[in-house]
Formats: sequence, structure tokens, C-alpha cells
Amino acid sequence: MRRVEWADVLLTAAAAAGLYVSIRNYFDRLSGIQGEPGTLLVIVACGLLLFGLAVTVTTTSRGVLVTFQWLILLGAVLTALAGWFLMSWTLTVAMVVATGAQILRIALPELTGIRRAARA
Amino acid sequence: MTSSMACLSFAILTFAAVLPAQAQQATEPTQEWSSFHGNLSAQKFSTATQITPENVHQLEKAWEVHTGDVSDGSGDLPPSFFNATPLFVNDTIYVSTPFYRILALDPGNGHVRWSYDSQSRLEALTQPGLKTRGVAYWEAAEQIPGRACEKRVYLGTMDANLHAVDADTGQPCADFGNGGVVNINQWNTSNDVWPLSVLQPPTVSGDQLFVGWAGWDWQYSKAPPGTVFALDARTGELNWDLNFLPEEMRTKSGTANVWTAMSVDEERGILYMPVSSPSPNYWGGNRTEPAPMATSITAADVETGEVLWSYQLVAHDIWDYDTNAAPTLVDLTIDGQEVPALIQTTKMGMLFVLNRETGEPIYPVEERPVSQTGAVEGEVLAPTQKFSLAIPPMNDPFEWPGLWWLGQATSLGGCGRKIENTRYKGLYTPPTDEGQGTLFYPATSGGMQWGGGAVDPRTGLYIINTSRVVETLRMIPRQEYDTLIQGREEGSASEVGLYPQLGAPYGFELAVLRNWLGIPCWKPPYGTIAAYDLTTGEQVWNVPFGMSQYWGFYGMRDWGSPNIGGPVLTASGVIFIGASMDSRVRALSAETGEELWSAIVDAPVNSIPAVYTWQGRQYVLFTAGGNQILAPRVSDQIVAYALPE
Repeated sequence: MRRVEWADVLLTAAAAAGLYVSIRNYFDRLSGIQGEPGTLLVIVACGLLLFGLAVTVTTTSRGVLVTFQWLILLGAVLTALAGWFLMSWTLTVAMVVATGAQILRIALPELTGIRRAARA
Repeated sequence: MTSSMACLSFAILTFAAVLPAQAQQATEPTQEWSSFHGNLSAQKFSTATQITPENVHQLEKAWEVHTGDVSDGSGDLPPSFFNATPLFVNDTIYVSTPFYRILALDPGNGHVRWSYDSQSRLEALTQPGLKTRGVAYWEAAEQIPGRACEKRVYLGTMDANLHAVDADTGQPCADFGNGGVVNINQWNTSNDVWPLSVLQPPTVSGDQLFVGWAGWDWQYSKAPPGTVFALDARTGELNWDLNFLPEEMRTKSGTANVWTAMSVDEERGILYMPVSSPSPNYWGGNRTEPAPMATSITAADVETGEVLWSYQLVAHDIWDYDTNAAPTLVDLTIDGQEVPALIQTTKMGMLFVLNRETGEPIYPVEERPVSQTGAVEGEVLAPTQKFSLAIPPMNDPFEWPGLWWLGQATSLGGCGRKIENTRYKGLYTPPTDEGQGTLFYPATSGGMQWGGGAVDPRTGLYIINTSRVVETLRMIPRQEYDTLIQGREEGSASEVGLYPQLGAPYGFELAVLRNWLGIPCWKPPYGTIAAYDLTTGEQVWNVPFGMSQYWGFYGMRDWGSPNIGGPVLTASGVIFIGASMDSRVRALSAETGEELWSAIVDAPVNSIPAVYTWQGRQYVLFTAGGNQILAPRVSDQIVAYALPE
């Protein structure tokens, strides 16, 4: 079992919060974005962030790890932007947090168990 | 100060602060919204003053009703376009649903008192969806107690029936037509290709109902010629009718009808009718004779139907620039003299201010030459058109907004390519079959739409919203058109912007100028709202209105939103309006246009709100129904806002 460090936890929490908020927005008729394709898009995006995170903590391939680390960063930034244009401020904040956490995961790998595990 | 003294002082101060509001609530008289525009002058002005620019931010939902009559078009029923303006009169809210029912609601909590089902056919006979704009109310000047139908509510249907029911019970009025129903289609005797749909509630003045009708745009070259019917409010009998096309044109053309609201000067006994364009909308080769009452504002005697004057806004209209809103009537003091004025909004984005007794312009109108090249075969263009420039137009008549860098960038220049071979020579550029057609601005969807404007009759401050939408219009020779639609299901060509104009040598293609992502190719703003001082003709302010929304993503506030639906102005200086595509209702400052309050509703409010005061409390009432033009969102929501009790 790998050690799960706090940057991973932060990213998971942010992506999960984004997913929860977006699903709620999709069904809430007072969200202003109920049933909209854009809302569906950010639901999928948050799901993909969690999926990407799972890949990065389980993969042993350095190529896959690096690719997914950058994809997660790109995904978080674009989802934050999407949240902004959807006027879903909670999602935007969650994705800004996710972006910060992912930057830390890339820049300071000692905060996560991932790279050490990958190198091992 | 001791703590008990502090408590006492606080209590006194609180009491003093609360007292005026309570006292005001108690003394606020009942204020009705008894007709489509609040009054027959189409002023959309409420004398209510409880909600002010200072406290409007405290508005909260007072009650909400879902009528249950909604369809998004995915099932057996066509989509519903719930664009009704509710009435508050006879201590009751009356509203129609797009399934052609009348609901009578309690004004304090929205509870249904009674409902009436017209049993109308729920088919899209003349419109893309099931549409209603509301009901009308009439009451006898001298009522006999206990006698039914001394107060009536009228509902029109798409299948051309006009229903009258008792306003207290919802029971049909047996003495009206045939058991409470008048079949308007009985007068559809020329080019009967569709029923005369009564979607706009009749205009009620005295003991008469003035009934216009709507048809199926862009489908046929020959169509029913435009008529307005004056009916007896009790019996439904025809008092008079008025046809707007010259007799020789009626069989080979059609429409020039009144599908929107009308206004009445009760003191002078004059009915004002906004007349639409003749058919077919984008080709006039079958109607080259003068038709002076088409696309006009026409005034008639309410008792006889005799035309008193008619002012044509577009000569030989081949742009579907229907006169689409009831003119607003107001007395203005200009240069120290009181003038009986009429303000007519237009799809072209220009305001015409006329003397409503004579039809003469109060502010100068210029007759200018317009483009004479590029028209299709058989077309005979009007050499000049009227330009009302003394009052700054909301939409520039000489320049379209121009290509927008974002549309261009996100389509890798696709926007530019779309207009490369289009023609544009300012307003009234003729529709063409050359190249990629005509760049069409303001497009059919406006300019100003059927919501019209609101005026403060005390000051002459006039509020009006407009859209800035650019379309491309390409005329397609019949043979090519028939090839294009081959293999398509009947009626489905419109989904890709193709319209037949059956009987004319040209069909046409009409499309909003957007790139593959749906991003507009033209520069924002896409909608604005403005205030004019009608005593001077000056524009006081003009600001972007609403927010555009596509796939859920909002545009910047400065971009504004295309809009359909009108404003209401209150005596305290607050504007209430829905209209934008972002499913929001808003309160704006009449002084500056600044947004003071907004709330999210279920769908765009493509109607005019109603403002009323009941039992000392002022309410603002919206119907959030959508129309699938601005956004693919429909609802059955009626929602009332008020200050906290």
C-alpha cells in the first residue's frame, strides 16, 4: 500500500467537491445551469480528474505518470475556467485548489508518495 | 448609558425604522394590472412605489406556481412557449397556459381558485410550438348582481377559437358565440392555408374586443390577408372588421395582419394597430402594387373601424420587419406644448414618435434612398425608406457591428469566410440569391421585439430593450431549393434554416451568423437597454442588458444578451424585466440602467412582467416559460416576488 500524502488528499477532495457541486448544479433548477451541456462537461471533467489521480497513484510507468500529471494540471485549469464561465463559483474555487495541489504534486514530489513509488 | 436604557433606545429606534414601512404597507392601495400592458395606452407603467431602488435588493420569492402545462417537444406534444403576461384584476390573477387553459390564482399565495380547459387541439398548427401570450378581461359597466358573466376572461387558441368564461367561476359564458366560444376562423375566407391563431389576447375597450391573429411565417406565398375583428364583448358578434391589404392583392398575397397587442386612446376613441408585413416575407414580386397599410401603424375609430390615418414604416417590406409591438401612448410636453404622442418601436431598431391624432411625426423622419442592387428576379424595390434618426436609433442603420476577433479566432477565420460573398449596404439591403446572400442587420429577431417599451407618463422617460443580432439571408431559386430539401421529412427543413415560401419562385435560407462553436461572429453587445427622454428626444443611457448563455456558459456582462420580452417601469424608478437568454429576472435603476437585483428562474422570461399591489403588498409577477428561440429551455413557472413581510 502506497503512502498517500496530503497533496494527493487535497487534489482528491477538490475534484470530489467539484464533482459533487456540478452534479448538484445539473439537477438544481435554480443553479442557472441545470441540464446544460456545459454542466455535463464539468461533471465528466471532475470524474476524469479523479480517474487521472487514481492512475498516477497506481501506475508504475514513468511515461504514464508524467503524461497524466500534466493532463491533470491541464484538466484542473480548464475546469476552473469552465466553472468561471458557468458562474459556478464553488466549482471554480475547487478547481483552483485542485490546480494548486497538482502544481505541488509536480513541483514537490516529496509531498506525494507517487514519484518515489514510481522510481522504486 | 445603562444596559436597560440602551435596550429601550434600540427598541424605539427599531420601532421607528419599521413603522414607516408598515404604515406604507397598510396604506398602499390595490393596484391592478388589468390588461396585457397594464393599461390600454401600452405604457407598462405601475404607480406602485413600495419597491424602490433602495430596497429592491431585498426582494424575495413570495410564491410560485407550476401549471403543469409544459412540453419540451421530446414527447408527443410540440414544445410549449409560455409567454403569457398575467393579469391582476377582480382580486384575482388570471393567466393562460400553452395548453390553452385559464388559471385563476389567489394573488397572495398563487393557490388555484379555478381553472378552465378550452380543450383546444395541442398541435403546432401555425407556430413551432404551443404558444400563448395571456388572457383579456372585461366587466360590464353596470353589473346586475347575481348574473353570471358580468365579468369575463377571454382566451384565444392556436386553433382559432376565442373562449369567454365567467371571471368568478370559470364557467363558459353561454351568451358568447356558440356556448362561450367564437370561431374566428369563420372569417378565414381567402387563402385559407392555416387557421387564424389567436395567441395574443384581445384588446378590450368599452364593450368591444379587438382581435388580431397570427399565422405561419415563411411557409406560403399566398396566405390569409390580414384582418382585425371588433367583436361585441357579450355576444361575440362581429361589429366590424378591417383588412389591411388592397382588395386586388388579397388573393395573391396575404398577411399584413396584427399578431401582436394593440393600444387604445379611450378618450379619443382611437384604436392603434401595429400591422405586419405581407406574404411572402422575403420576396415581393407577387405584390408590387402599393400596400400603404402593410408594415404600418394604423389608427381606426373604435366604433366603426374607419381608418383615421396610417403611417407606413417600411415600404414594400421584403425583410419581415413586421410592426411587432403595440405603440405606447403618452402625452408629452415638448417646447412647452402638450402633444398627444405615440411611440412605435421597430425591428429596425428605430423609434418613431408620432402625433397620435394626426399620424404626423413629432420628431423628424427622413426619407432616404436605399440600396437598389442585388435584388432577385421579379422584385421591385422601394427607392426610399423612412429613417427616424432624430431620436438616436438603438441599432445602427448604416453599419453592422463588424467581425469579432473571438469568433474569428475560434473558427480560424471561419467567420470571415462566411461573410466573404455576402452583400451589405446598410439597413434595407435587398435579399439576394447572389454569393452567400445578404448580411441581415438588424435581423428578423430584432431590433426591438414585441415586448415594446415602457414609459413614465409623468416625465416622458421611455425604457426600451433591443437585440443586436446578425443573420445571413440567402434567397434560393425554387429548383435549387427543392433539390436541397429532397429526402427531408416534411417540415424538418426549418431545422437547418431552410424555409419554402411555397408559391414564390424563391425559398430562402436564414441563419444566425455564428461559428462552429456557436460563438457569434459579430462584435458584442448582443442586447442593450436604454432610456430616452421623449420630451427632448435624447438618449439618457444605454447599457448592455442581460448575459448571453450557450451550453450553460455565460458571456461577459459587457456582451449583453439577445432579448425577447418587455420591461415594466414603476413610479419609484425601478425597471423590472426578464427577456434575456440567461433565465434571469432583473430590477434595474430607471435613472442609470444599473442592475439592482436579479434572480434565477426556470427558463427565459419571454413575456412582460405584471406589477400589482394587493392587501398593501407590492408584487412583481413573471412567467418563466421560454420560447426555444433564445435558449432550448422551457418551463411552466409563474413566480411572484415581493419585499419581506
